[in-house]
Amino acid sequence: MDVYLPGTGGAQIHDLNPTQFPPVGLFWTVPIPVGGVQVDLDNGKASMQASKVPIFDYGTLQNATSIGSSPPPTPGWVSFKVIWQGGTASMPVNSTDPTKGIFSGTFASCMAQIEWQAQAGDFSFESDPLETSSSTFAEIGQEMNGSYLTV
Amino acid sequence: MSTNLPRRKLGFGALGATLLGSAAAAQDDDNPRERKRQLLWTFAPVPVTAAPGNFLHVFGGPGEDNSTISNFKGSIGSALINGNVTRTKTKTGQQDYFPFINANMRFMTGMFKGTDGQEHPGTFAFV
Repeated sequence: MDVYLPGTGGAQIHDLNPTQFPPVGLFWTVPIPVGGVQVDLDNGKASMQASKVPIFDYGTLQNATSIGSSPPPTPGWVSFKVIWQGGTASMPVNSTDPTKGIFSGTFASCMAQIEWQAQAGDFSFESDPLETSSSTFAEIGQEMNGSYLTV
Repeated sequence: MSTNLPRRKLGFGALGATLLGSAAAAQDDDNPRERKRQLLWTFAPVPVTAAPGNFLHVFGGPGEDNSTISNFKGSIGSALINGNVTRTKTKTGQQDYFPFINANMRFMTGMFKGTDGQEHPGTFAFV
């Protein structure tokens, strides 16, 4: 979650992500219970929710990825619910470009919304309701990569 | 100091993987038995390979691999979402209202081959 000061060009003031510094292994990625994700590709929708995922607040993305200690990350947690809907036209994607990742799949563009809560250090966070959020990019689909591409 | 670098523009670097699910997992107060079954891993997923010249293994966005896990086969959702959040300073109760911008949220659910070379089911959130 990237929180900014209001206004155009407002500085980032919170960067909440689940990866310790330096970022290694699965980046910003954590396992969640299988029941936390519901997928209905036939109807172009999906949802994801999780409760109290451990995170760190690095303040800024730059601090999270390249500095790590300015300011020192503050541990906390985040809970969230995300929905994807309106994905009706799946398109095949086959990428052999290493700058985009090598994978194959089908994806449908759609819209997504989120509501979330978090706590880190001296702050708690409560987003506006899910329906007030909007996506600039969203897609759902199926894919395979790595060794599955050669099977 | 701030940056507006979109997360989805970051590249990747496979920097090694030692993710123990039991340590990093989200809580599931509703189904602790399922959580226990899911997350006591003795292996680790393999991060996707870095794009040339990049050190972080994060693709994402239209036409790019939105999986952070290599050797993965399954369903994926990815999004950049904007909205507003109320921040409360817990010691004083002071509240402020801020935008959150391009929250990069993803799920990956399906099968993957871990560092043990074996196939496993897994469900992951990119936060």
